[in-house]
Amino acid sequence: MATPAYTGPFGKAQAERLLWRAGFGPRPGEAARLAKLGLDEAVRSLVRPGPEKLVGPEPKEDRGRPLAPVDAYGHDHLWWLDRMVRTSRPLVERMTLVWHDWFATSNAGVGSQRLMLQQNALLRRHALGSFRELLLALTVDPAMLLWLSGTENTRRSPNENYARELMELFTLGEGNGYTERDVREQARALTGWRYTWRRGAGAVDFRFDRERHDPGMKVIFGRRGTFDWRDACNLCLQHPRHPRFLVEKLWGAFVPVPPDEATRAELERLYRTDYRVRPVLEAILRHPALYTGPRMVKPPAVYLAGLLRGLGRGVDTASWVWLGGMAGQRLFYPPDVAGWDDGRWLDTATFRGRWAVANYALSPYSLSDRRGPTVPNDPEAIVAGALRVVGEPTIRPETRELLLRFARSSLAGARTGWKAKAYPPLVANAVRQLLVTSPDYQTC
Amino acid sequence: MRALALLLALAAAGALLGAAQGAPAPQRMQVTEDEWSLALSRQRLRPGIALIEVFNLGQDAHDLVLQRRAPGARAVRVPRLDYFQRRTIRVRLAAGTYALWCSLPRHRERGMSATLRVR
Ligand SMILES: [Cu+2]
Repeated sequence: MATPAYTGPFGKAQAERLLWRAGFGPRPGEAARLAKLGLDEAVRSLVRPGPEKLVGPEPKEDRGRPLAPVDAYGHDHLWWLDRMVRTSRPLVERMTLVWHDWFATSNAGVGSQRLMLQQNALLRRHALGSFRELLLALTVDPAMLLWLSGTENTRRSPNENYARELMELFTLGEGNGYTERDVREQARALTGWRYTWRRGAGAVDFRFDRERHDPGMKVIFGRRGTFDWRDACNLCLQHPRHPRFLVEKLWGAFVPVPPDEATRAELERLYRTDYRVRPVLEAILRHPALYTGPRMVKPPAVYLAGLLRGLGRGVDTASWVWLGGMAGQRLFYPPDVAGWDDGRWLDTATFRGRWAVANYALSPYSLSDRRGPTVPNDPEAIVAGALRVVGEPTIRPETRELLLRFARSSLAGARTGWKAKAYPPLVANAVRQLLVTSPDYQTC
Repeated sequence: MRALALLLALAAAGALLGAAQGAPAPQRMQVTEDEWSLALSRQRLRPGIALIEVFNLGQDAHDLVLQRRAPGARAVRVPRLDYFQRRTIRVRLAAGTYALWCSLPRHRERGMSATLRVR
């Protein structure tokens, strides 16, 4: 039995939703091109992309200097944002973001942009691959070892941080099929990792040290053995509750309502064979629920990257760093190990951030009666122009009508005199701002 | 060997290209502060202009002093930063060895010091 596939029309609107959910939205014309491929080919192009090509202008900071992702605050954020904007492999980049949220590590605890970027490369390398390989690599990744005290976990003084999150957040779910004793025994299995502290350089040379490892007998999930860190991971992966946890969490990154029983069981079967993520993703991205179900709020980083893609603008200002924070998603600084709370993407504080993001994104395109093209004193043309500048996103007729009504009423008193020339560009700027902050554009 | 020669040729071409486009971007380094350490994102810089960013990730306030180990060398000071504050300074570095430390009482002794080589 296979999971059901969407069989309705696959036009520009459906392709747009797919590109926003599985990536960072379309560049101008991209949704129409993807729609022509049909659903199966469109999904295949995302889950089996060719080699990465970065398309568009090189990123720079405000003075036009190149980014220094390892050496300057915020440039880590800008570097990744640029990758989201310019990538030709949007699902790889989107899954890198999904894993960053899943294994949420913050530089506030790590204190090294270099180690954070190394972890980011690891997430990208395994983005569509094997969850088993990802979990094993991440368990001993230097940033993770620092973040969850892996290098403080020794036979003499076990530290349970990683053991607990390994089960609670990464593989099983809170209290789902393990006990406090399992946490303690997993911590013992995970002992042995250390680094060398070099003055001026910090933690270097992360390695396994047999002397620090507890080689004794452990009992984990009722199984006995002299388990080590690899066993700790494998035992979680082999736990009967793990496939369901993974499938539901992964599904939740793409579809806002839970899968039906039959779909979930089939996704679990796909995953269980060899822990590969790609077939599960392919099934989720073809599923009717993705195309016919309720809309999802775009995460702030996705919203901005997609807005820049639509505008054809590259990363050219460091303002995206503080604006990202204000909108609720400073990359490399998730709020805690549980990752970002997507229930907060549209609260009163973060919405204000999104409004500011929209304003900054549109500002280089700002119209005026003193420069640039003449804006016609015509509500229809102004709304059409706003849609064009952000790459012709699909919006509902009622949203279009609201924008038109706003343009009409704003221009009503400006038929003649100086207002007839001065108002249209102002109204056009406002319509653009309203368009990209509308529910239609904030969600997908 | 041939690969190496090609790489060197490419590097030389890159250098020429850089020169043709005007002054190269200044080199950058980040110093993260914590209790009780300083960590430099680079252990070595070239002589010339550098942008050095000091970023306090510790719980307490810290400052930073940068001074070349040479008679009469002037010290560059970055004032106290609270948690998560940062400050970037622009300095002209001469070849030699620089000492970096936090000058708050006893912070240097506790480990807040580092060495930067410029050459
Ligand atoms: Cu200090």
